[in-house]
Amino acid sequence: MRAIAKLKNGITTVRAMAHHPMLSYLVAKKKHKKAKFITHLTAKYNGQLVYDLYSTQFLSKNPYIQFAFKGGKKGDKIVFYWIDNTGESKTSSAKIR
Amino acid sequence: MKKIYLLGSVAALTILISGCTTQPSQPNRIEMGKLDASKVCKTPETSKGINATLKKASMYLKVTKKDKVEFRTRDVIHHKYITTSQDIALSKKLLAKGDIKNATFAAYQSCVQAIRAVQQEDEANKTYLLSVPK
Amino acid sequence: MFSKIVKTSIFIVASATILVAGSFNAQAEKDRLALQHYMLAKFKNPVANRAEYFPYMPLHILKTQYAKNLKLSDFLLGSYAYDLDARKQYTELNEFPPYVFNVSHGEKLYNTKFKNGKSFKDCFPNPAIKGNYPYFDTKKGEVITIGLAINECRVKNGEKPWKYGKGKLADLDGYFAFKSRGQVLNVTIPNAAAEKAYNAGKKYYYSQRGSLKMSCATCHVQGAGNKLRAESLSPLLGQYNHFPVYRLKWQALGTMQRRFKGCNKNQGEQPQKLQSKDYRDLEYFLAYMSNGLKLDGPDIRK
Repeated sequence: MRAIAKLKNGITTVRAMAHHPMLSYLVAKKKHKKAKFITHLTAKYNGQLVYDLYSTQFLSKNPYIQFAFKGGKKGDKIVFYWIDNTGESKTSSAKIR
Repeated sequence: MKKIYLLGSVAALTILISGCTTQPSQPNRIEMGKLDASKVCKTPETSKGINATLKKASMYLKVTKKDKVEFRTRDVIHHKYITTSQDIALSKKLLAKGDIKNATFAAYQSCVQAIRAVQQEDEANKTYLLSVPK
Repeated sequence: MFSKIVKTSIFIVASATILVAGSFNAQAEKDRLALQHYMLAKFKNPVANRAEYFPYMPLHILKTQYAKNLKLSDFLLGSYAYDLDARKQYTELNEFPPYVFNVSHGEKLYNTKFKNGKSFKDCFPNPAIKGNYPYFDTKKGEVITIGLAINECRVKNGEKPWKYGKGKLADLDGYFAFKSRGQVLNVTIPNAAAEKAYNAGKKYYYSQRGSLKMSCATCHVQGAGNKLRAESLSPLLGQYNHFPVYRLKWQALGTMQRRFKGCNKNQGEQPQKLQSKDYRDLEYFLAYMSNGLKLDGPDIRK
């Protein structure tokens, strides 16, 4: 998961992109593969939940998210976690600049 | 007796020669560039006429394909257009009242567009320099 | 006396060949400069030039949504150079470009070893090579594009060649392009056969083709700055520099050859096989037209 997190005037803005094929049922059938899409994506700062997303097949490939929250300090980490319908999950982090 | 044999062999020869000349001959690329497509591809509204025109069209398409200028109209490749038209022309059910006109037009178009691609290439060879910025 | 005559004649012949050797790109240089002159004049003031260059564009769009006084370096953005609304969307997308994963995959492919122990590093020691592609191979007598060079490297090392246009080959092409950013494109025409290839590409570009009887120039020279249905057409100048391109329509990275296929279909003609002789000569011509501009691939387009 690639992410850029910037702190400005006390507000941290985060832009991130997950690396995931996000195959819907119809597209997967055409390609003779199993449907595979992220079902739950979260972002936490200092253990506190700052972004929570539940999704089905409606998001497209390599989903891009953008959010902001009050607070944050330079050098601190934001931890991303996603899990998809096949059970695969990934955790990654990004530093606030 | 001899005369009958002579007459018979002459008759057989003429039938043979006429049979060979009624077959359409493989067109020459330069000749194709000068054809009047609307005359050559004129199709009577009969199943036989449609099939004859479609045969002509696939013959012309061979030359068009060699020059790599085969048309692709509304996502239908030209050789597939011809085979689909042939299927319609061969099927008696589909050649109902209204469809004979459409099938005639399809045969005419498949013949005309095969010739037009080659004639357009000749024209482009003469005129392409006009659009170059100077 | 005789030796003097021989020496002077040898000198004359040698100097004549040196003088003649540089002239294989004389016409090409004229074409390139004429194209730059045309594009700069066209986009200098769209409102004032409307009658000559944009006769079917509504005046209010030219006044409010078009940029003026474009410089040469602006043309690298294609249609986003003059279409201000599209340029805003492009800038936003570029903050987090979708091709980042393709470029990192390309880097992985560059370092992966073949079965015989070698890798792409042995064929291309420095990945910043796109400034000199495509080039005309004087020994083989044909144009060598980057896709052809990549597959030649694979075949030479006993691997199966990749499919052209998309997938792994496009990712590696994207990595090379990313590393070559900032280089000035410099395609050369070394001999008469190369000049012939350039002329063949130029003829292909300006010839009308297909059931719609459109040439490449209809959209990208005369049509640049105008609209085709709802799409703003990009100019020929600077088009080669941003390839391979992440097209939002493809949702994937694709090479220049892949775009030729799509353009041919749009004109109403059955496309040729990728990396055919016509397509390679066309790429040679296109690259030469954008000589002197900087490379900035890969890039995002609609």
